[in-house]
Amino acid sequence: MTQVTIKSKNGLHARPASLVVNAATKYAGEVFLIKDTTKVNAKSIMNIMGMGLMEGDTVTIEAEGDNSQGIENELKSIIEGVEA
Amino acid sequence: MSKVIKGLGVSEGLGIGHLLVMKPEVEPKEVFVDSEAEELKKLSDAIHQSLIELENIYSEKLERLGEEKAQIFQAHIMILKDPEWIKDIEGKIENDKYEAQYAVYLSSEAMAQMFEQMDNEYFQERAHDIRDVARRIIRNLRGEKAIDLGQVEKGTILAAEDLTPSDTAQLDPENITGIITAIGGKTSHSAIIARTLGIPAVMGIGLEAFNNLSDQTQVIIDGQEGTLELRPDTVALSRARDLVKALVAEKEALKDLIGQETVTKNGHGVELAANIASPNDLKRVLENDAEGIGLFRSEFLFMDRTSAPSEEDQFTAYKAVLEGMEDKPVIIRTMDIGGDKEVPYLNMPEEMNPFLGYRAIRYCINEPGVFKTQVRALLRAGVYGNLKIMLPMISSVHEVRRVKAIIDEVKKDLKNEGVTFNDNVALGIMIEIPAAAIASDLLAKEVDFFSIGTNDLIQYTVAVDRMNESIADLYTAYHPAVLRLIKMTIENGHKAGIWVGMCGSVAGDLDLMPLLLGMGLDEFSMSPANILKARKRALEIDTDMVQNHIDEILSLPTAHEVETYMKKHFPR
Repeated sequence: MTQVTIKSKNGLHARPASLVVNAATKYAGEVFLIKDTTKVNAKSIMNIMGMGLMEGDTVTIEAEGDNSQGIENELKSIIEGVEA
Repeated sequence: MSKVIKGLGVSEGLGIGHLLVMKPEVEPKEVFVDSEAEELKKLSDAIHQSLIELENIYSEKLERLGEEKAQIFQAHIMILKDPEWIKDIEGKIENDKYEAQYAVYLSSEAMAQMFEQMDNEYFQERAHDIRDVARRIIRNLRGEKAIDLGQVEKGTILAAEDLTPSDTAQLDPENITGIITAIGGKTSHSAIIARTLGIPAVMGIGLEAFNNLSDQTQVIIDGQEGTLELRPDTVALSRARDLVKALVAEKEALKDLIGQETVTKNGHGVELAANIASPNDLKRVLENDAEGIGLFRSEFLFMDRTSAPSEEDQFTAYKAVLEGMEDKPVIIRTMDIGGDKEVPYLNMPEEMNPFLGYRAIRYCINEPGVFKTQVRALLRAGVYGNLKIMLPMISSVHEVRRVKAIIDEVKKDLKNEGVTFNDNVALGIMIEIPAAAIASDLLAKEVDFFSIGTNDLIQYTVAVDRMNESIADLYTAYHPAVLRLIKMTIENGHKAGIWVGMCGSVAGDLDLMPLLLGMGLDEFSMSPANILKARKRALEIDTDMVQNHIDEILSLPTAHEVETYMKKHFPR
């Protein structure tokens, strides 16, 4: 499990969300984003955008499968790298 | 057998072509199936087909319009591939035994509504994307072909119930020789676009007549008379072809006037400007050599959406127009909503008499939130060109002063935030309410210019609903009362040292033009397609000579006599 905080002023909008989906889809196992009690499939653009993640929100990335830490780190850097 | 259908002529010109009928989308109904396996297969085929379409559109847009414009289709592809969404749709087929169409519809609506309820405007707008993708899958499930309005055959006459702004944005006057709609009148969005593009259009033919139209039927469309002739005989066809040829020749001849100044025969300069509804119209404005924008109907940025456009969206649109026009004057009218222009998300109450009700500047003064955002965007964009702001529906000096106070507040905010803006944008008003025309001496001291909005001025002066066909003969600018108000407004403006223009459809009436020029009107703003015709007309007119006729014209007792007099003494 890896935690990450949204820094972009516009939240996790379509473009970064799609980068997350692209990376997650390449991963063979399951990947989730978790905020509070909401846990969603990181391969689903609508689920991710449906979380409505805004600046300052913290989410947990949870992967299940081989090299889960690798994909978690990759998603973390994508989410952190989003420009305002 | 040939057949004639009558509607409203909203954009003049004659076109010959074959019908392309855009059948309205029918919402999927609750239908149950026996074989889920078959529905699942259909679903997977339709998704596959939709994916091919979207990938083609994406690469085509990428090549033609660039990454930014193409991105939206990338987002659509991603929605289409969304595993959770597909799982949800499949669940509705497997568990509830719904037909695939209905399953897609239900699932997409639930998603779209969830997005609409989110706090953030950006996420709310994603609901459109989901519905767009769902419609594509449903269309493929029905085995219907996509209509790409940007790629129709030459000589297409498009028929639709009504056209949305996204439809009209794709219309290409090279290929589309006519537009027919079941509903809508002269002031509808589709009508305005048709005039801007110079495509002949007949609207309001009624749903019954529309439902009887079929693809590929040959049609002659007359946008002047408002008629459609279906399956014309060879005589009618050859007559129409000759007329079209003559019109094309006339249009070609007018191109010689591009680049010429608009000066009357006796050397009096006048400005011919264009009316637009979006930055997309700029191309037509420049092609027709307009000397400015006399009316940018900003409310069209607010229509057919689920939430107000953001400050950035508006700023981008205004800036594009200002930069496109270089240093020529650009008059942007603040949102003129209400009346016939509904904007559901503003939650304006329904009323018995909307044209006399809570609309346009009245709403903006009372609930200034959305208006302030618009003013911010305008003042910021004002740095990029020759911007003038115009207020609609002004009936009193009191309103002008209240708006000025709001604008001052906005300027103060911008200053405090250190945002760059133009502090010296000219402020003018529409004269479209008789009270404003009569009190134009008082109003002239408050503003930098007037623009006479004849569409509403006639409606309010003669008390005639401009949408009501059965009293259409009462709706005329030639009514002596209307002409007197126009003259009074011009005189009062000039006395106070401000210029006076006109942006209603009367500004493009070539029969009335000599009189308006004689009265001293400084600016005429019209559909881009009319500019060169108006320039040709202005070059022929001697305003000194017209002035000798003005008293006589204004003493004529009926509209009919005025019209006859004008045609007789100032023939075209």
